[in-house]
Amino acid sequence: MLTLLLYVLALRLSLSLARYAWTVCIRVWHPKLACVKQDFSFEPTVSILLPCFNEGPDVYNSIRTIVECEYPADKFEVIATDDRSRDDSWEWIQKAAADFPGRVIARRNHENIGKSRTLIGASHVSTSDIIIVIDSDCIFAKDTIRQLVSCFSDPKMGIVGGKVGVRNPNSNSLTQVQTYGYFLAFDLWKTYENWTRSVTCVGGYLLAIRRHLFEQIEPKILTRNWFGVEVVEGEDRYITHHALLLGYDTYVNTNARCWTNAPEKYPQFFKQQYRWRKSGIRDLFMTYKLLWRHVGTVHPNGIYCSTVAPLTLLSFTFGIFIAPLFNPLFFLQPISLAISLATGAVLHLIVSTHFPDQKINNPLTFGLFGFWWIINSFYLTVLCLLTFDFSDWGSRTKKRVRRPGQ
Amino acid sequence: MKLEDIRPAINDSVLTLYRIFAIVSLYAVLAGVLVFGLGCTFYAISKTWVAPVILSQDDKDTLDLTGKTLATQNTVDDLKLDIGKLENTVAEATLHKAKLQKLLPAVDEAIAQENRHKRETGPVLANLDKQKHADEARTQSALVKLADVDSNIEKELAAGLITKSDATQATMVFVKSHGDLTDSKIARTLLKDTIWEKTLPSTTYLDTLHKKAELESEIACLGIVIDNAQKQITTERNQVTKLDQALKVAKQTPLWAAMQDGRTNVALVAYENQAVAIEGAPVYDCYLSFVACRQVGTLKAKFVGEQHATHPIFRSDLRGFLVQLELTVPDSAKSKTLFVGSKPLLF
Repeated sequence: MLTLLLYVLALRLSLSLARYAWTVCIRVWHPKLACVKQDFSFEPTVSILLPCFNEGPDVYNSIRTIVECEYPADKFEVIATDDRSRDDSWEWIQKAAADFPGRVIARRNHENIGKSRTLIGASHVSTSDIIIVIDSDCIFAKDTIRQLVSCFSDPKMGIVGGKVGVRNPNSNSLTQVQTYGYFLAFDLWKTYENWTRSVTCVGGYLLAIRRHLFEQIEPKILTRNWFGVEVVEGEDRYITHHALLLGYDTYVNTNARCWTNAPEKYPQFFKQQYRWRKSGIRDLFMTYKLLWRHVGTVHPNGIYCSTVAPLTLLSFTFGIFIAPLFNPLFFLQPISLAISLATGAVLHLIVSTHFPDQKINNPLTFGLFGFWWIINSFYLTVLCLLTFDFSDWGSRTKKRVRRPGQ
Repeated sequence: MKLEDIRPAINDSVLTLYRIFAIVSLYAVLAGVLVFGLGCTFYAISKTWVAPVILSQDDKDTLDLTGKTLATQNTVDDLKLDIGKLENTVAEATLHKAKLQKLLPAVDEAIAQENRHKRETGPVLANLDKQKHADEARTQSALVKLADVDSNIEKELAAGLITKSDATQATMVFVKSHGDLTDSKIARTLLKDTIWEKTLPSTTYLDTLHKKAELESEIACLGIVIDNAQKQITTERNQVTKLDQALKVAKQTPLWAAMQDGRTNVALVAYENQAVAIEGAPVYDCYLSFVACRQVGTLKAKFVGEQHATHPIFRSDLRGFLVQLELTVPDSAKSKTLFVGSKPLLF
């Protein structure tokens, strides 16, 4: 049994390495393979949906930077919806609506209904061809909207995402760790999925979708449940997955850029990761449930990324359960630390060279990244598997109160 | 009844079961992580734990040591026997050599005496030979003269000048004289032989010298034999000393104790914890690894020699030495760890 498990883990490792190798090949020698044809003259109407819960003044900055994007003013609107925040977010939204008249629609739910329903409510207000969902704590580059929309010139393109960077990469070791994580996610993992236009999760921080496609998926979002318990997190992954199942392409345009504040405190970070991990595991189960629907519709690479790749987490979790039984100090072995630090050094070099705004002052924090990955894989995965009946806004549940003008 | 009608009930049941399972599992995982962390921390800090090992006559190592010990003991016995034989050989050879060495001067003395005798009698006989030679010459000339007389006897007998009896008597004298001359020649020839023996090296003399050389060779050979035997005795005595030392060391190992006593409870003491390895110190066993402990015996003896083992908790390489335990609760030897000196957490 143990031998079989080791073979499975070795196979997974080989597949992952092959995947990374191919990704590096694409990035270095054939970058066009992972790019779609863009038409910057394509200018459909755009609604930017900004659901907000306990974001405070960050929501104002988000609205400001998105409004300042270079796109015809008469062709895009911002619909900011407050989900009954317990802080001053609503005041900041109102301030934005006042500061940018005619460009921002300020809405407030009657009660806290969660991000998914808030988004759907906001989409009902919108009449545009393209809906862009953004996070209320992000700031955006001036060409973000154009970069996203230009990819929709291909009618098969259903969802386009952007690349998120970290605004506070050097605030503390935690944000440094996350910076590496974001880099790996967008510049390594997404590249592989971009290759076949089958990105399995376009993040909700910056997600552009055709309106009719969103409306097609909307009923499914509303009826998402787990044995009767409503599922409110991971709508971005869910939407992306269903777009793939409906035969559309999904893509992350790394030139469409935004930046977010990475959590600086462990509880906040933990909740965020918990939310992401849970949506990933839910998606994995859904994938297996609807596996036959994928065949013939989704690109084989997309099927692989949805079905096999996520098993890494589960197999790693299982491995972490098993490893200490044989060697409690397995993860403190010099070889493990050396590999972690060597990988960190390479990443640091790449990030420093090609992404100076994401430069990390202390490259040794990658060692922490490895440590977090162990905790993340072990405890978070188990926690997620055992708390499918629980959902909330995650990292935004509590927020300090800071009134506009303060 | 439609599935949709009973779906809420099914969902509720599944959720209830799931929640029970989830709560139990989460607490189990939490408890597991906590216990694991505490355990690792405790064993990283604790300086009183030892790792018990049960040794018995049936153990592979014990059997191996038994075989080796017996083989070594046999070798020692064989060597001692051989040393005894060699010592006897040396004694016998020494005695024989001494006797031969005593014989050698006697031979030399005999040869010297004989040589002296020859030197004395040789010249005398040579003179006698000369005299004999002169006597023979005179006898020869006398016989030549008698030859005429002999030829005249027949004539005088025929002439009747002498009687037949006188003629016969005269002839007999003549013949006898010839015979005497011949005897004299024979005697002289023999004398020459004697003179030759007395004045020149004879084969007898050479035989004597040969025997003397053999004697000396035999003495030398005996010397070599004695020397070699003594060297071999020295070598074998060294071997015996070394093997005895090895046996002595082996007898101080826990495996020897296991060989002798049948089953021996020992424990590996890591070098970091060696301070607790004091003979007579109490030994504790705990029900929950290091909690709820009771005394189960004492530390009986320390063994020499480094031992390598795997850390019972961390599975890393461990270096230390073994101690013998006197356990009142034999099953405690099956515990993963025991504690020496005091209870690890005072309870």
